[in-house]
Amino acid sequence: MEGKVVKVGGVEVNLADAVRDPRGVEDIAEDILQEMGERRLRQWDPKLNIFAHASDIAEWDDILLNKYHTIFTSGKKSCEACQQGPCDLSAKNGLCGLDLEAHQAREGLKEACRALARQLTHARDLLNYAIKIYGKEKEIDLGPYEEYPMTNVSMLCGFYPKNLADVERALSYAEAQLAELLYAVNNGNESAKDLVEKTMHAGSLTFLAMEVAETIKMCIFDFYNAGKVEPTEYKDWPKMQTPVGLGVVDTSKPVICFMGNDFLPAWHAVRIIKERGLEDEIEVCGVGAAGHDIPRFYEKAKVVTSATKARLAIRAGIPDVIVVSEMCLPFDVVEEAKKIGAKVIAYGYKADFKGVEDKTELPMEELVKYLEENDAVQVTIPEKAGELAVEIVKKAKEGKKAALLSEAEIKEKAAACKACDSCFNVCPNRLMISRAMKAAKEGNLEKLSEIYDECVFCAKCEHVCPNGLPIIDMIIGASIEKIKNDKYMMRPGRGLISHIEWRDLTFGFVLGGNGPGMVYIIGCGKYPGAEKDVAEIVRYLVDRNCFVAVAGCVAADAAKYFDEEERKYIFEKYLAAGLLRGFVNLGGCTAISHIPPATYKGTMIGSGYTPKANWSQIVDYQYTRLPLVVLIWGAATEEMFTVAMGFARSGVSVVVGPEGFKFKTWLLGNKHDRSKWQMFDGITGRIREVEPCPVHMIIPVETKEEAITMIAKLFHRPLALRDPRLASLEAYNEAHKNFFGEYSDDWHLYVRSEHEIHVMRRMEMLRLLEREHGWVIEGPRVKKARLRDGRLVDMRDYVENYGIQLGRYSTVVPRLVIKEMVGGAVAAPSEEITKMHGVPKE
Amino acid sequence: MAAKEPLDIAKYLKERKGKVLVMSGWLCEKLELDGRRLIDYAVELANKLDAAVAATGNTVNAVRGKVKATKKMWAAEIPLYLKYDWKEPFERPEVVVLIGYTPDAARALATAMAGLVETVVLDSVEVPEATISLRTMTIDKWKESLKEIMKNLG
Ligand code: SF4
Ligand code: SF4
Repeated sequence: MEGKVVKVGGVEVNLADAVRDPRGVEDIAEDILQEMGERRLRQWDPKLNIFAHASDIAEWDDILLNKYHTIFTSGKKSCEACQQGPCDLSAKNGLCGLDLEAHQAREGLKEACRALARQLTHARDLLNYAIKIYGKEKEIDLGPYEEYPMTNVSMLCGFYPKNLADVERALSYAEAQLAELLYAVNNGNESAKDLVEKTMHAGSLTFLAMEVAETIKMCIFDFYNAGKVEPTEYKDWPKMQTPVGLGVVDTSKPVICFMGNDFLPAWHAVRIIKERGLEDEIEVCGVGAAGHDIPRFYEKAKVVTSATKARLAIRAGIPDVIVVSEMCLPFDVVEEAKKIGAKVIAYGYKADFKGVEDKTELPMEELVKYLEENDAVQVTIPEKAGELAVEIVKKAKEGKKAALLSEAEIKEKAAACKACDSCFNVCPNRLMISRAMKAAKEGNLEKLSEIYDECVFCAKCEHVCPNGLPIIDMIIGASIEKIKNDKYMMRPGRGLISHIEWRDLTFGFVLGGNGPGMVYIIGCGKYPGAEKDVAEIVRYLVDRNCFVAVAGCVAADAAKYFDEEERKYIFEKYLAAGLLRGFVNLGGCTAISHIPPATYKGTMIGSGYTPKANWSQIVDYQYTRLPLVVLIWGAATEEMFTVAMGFARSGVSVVVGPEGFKFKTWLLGNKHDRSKWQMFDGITGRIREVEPCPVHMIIPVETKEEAITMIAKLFHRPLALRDPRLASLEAYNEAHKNFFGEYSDDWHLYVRSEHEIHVMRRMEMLRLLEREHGWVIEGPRVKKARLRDGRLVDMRDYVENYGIQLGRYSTVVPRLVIKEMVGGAVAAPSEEITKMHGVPKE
Repeated sequence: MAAKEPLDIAKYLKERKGKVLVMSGWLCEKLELDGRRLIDYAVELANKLDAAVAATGNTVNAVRGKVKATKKMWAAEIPLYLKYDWKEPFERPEVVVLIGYTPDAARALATAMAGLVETVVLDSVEVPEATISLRTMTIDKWKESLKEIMKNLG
């Protein structure tokens, strides 16, 4: 295709060479090329993915999927996606040509589309509301400390949105992409690989949707936003002001509890509460996403628990009024609320509950009367839903029923248990309920109370109990003291990590320092063990010099630690900033969208590359250099699988707890296959063998000890400098030895010299290299090392043949080998370019 | 149908003695069937079948020194190595026995290993994706079934 020719300094670029189809996006493409500048354009041919379709990022996705094996976990062998079905794919392809692997891959895409749809509609609701109130010209201003606004958008679309009209352009693009992905879910016979690429695309689009929501929250509704705060204040900002836990709500006062993903009714309820001076009279609390959003604009808000445990909040009798919007883990809120006599306001068009009528058009007085007489009402206007909650909450309190079972009642009910163990066999945590029932029957409630610690209140047990036992109520009734004492404090979410902080992080983790890496922990509260495990993971990592950030429901559970010695909660124990040993809360579920931009910032600061529709270059840089890992602990929603796929595509490895065994796709690297662990010396194009790292992109683990150890292993990056290499190897060795009583079978693959082994462990490890791997050691020095092909060579040869020293331009993307040097096909770089970059000539 | 009686499972495993790998998952340490931990069943099973134990989760600490061979392994990596490169310090197995995994994890692992090895799941929930599995049953019956399998392995 003929395209417009753009002149950047002395370089001419034909847009048709840089963009698959430049029509309609010439302005964006030209801007990006000008921003890249002559110097970059002389080094590499640009390839821009403006308004990317999945296949526009195939250059990168192919590299990833050639390196990592997709392991599919769906056992479904029959396809019913189209009218020709069902087709049994176990022996042969379907009528359309679809094979079993592709079918399994499609199961993943289907799940990802569900998550994407949920996030897109949430973002769309907020955007439409913002446009309605403020107009499309409303400026996007994330503050002076956010230099790169909305990079999830810019990475896919090619521009930084300047106003709501730009945001809408980006969101409309993502909505159209969802339609395209849904088409692939139900049609055609694509390969498994194409479908996995599309699933990753859904992940990237989910970040975009979450980013739109998050941006509106920060720009329009004044949520806490680190972009607007002086970086010198970060270390103690936002303040430790948010109470967390079931025991923090003062139930002697009327309580409004917000559940679901939408904060708008809460925003208006808080506005009215403030206008009427009711802050000390009405308790405002939240569960799940809303629970984490409200404290970002209301300092008196309380977080009760995660979305997974919303049912617990109700059964424990906390709310008088529940305002529920669309939920990531839907359950029958109205039925649950009836059990304690709480009133339900279902907000929005998506919060459709059977039998609940939409009475939005009624005047407030009549609406109040209607809800007094009924259990629930649907209201689709946020101002009205918020006002109704405030109006009704005092009266609602009067109608409340006693929620908790007495000891005698528990004992009596337990006697009806027939020990059929239907409950045990569906319980995600394999909790032995019948054993606890037996003890309870005899008057010992201790075992039921032990179950409380690991129960996620999913109600699967109650659902299958043939005797209809209220198992959850019995567990709660046996744990009243635990509920009362569930009291902690946290910092509310702060939004983004600023580029200023990234400069510090770069010094602590990339250029030197002794931080092994940065960990982002997300999750929904569906833990495989006790919820306090999250805080233990955080403490372990921060105490070992990591930077840790949390986002989503997991943040409230991470708060559940109090240091008796220091008399400090975990959020005040560590610095609240993006630093070595820093620990920050980004916010609720949509704040997950701050994680990819945080990683892109590392790349931009390190390389100066343009984060606009320039996927391969940005992601290649961070994938090969930055020690970043996401831990998903307590995954319950499709969103978690979807963002895991998105993170992998962004070059960030993901460790996921036991719920990850249910993820439809794992992306695992084979450390034994040396052909997979190679990259290009970016100057000469020569292929170099490197360490198998990061060895996996998505891997499920079983225990928190496995999670910590795998995180440490995945910090390794082939282009990391010596000190970060030492720090990550030490973290890996220490964890493996402490938790499993032995060193791993692969730690030696990450050693390039004795200087990368921590001094405290050096002699021990050198001996092991000698004894188990046949290296030649002299005193504290490596004399000869064994290459992966088995040859014993001196250190000069070792360094020459393994690992890569020329970090600056090295790459896994062939296009990004500096073009002027490849095979001498093009002239060597000019003196000027060489001087500018300090490019070492070979 | 994957579900089989304990006696049939014992017979099946006995015929494959020496070709089996036992995978012990994290629930092996958590679950106790009236005083006996699941990990003890895993160890007994491995010894009776002359099998190594791929100890996943944290179970290696409870298995070390009690079976002919064991190693800390990662459950999700095992299907990968079975498919591409088996470089472990014990023979590549023909049968993998899973014990101590949630039904969801066992289903995923059995699916991932399908066509590579035969899989036997010894949980109290039937796992149709496995080659062979116990039926869904009560905790008491599960305990009895495990005992019966052990007894019939000799
Ligand atoms: S509610 Fe608790 S005990 Fe019941 S199945 Fe869920 S996790 Fe298990
Ligand atoms: S399902 Fe009901 S009757 Fe059966 S063991 Fe569980 S609590 Fe008892």
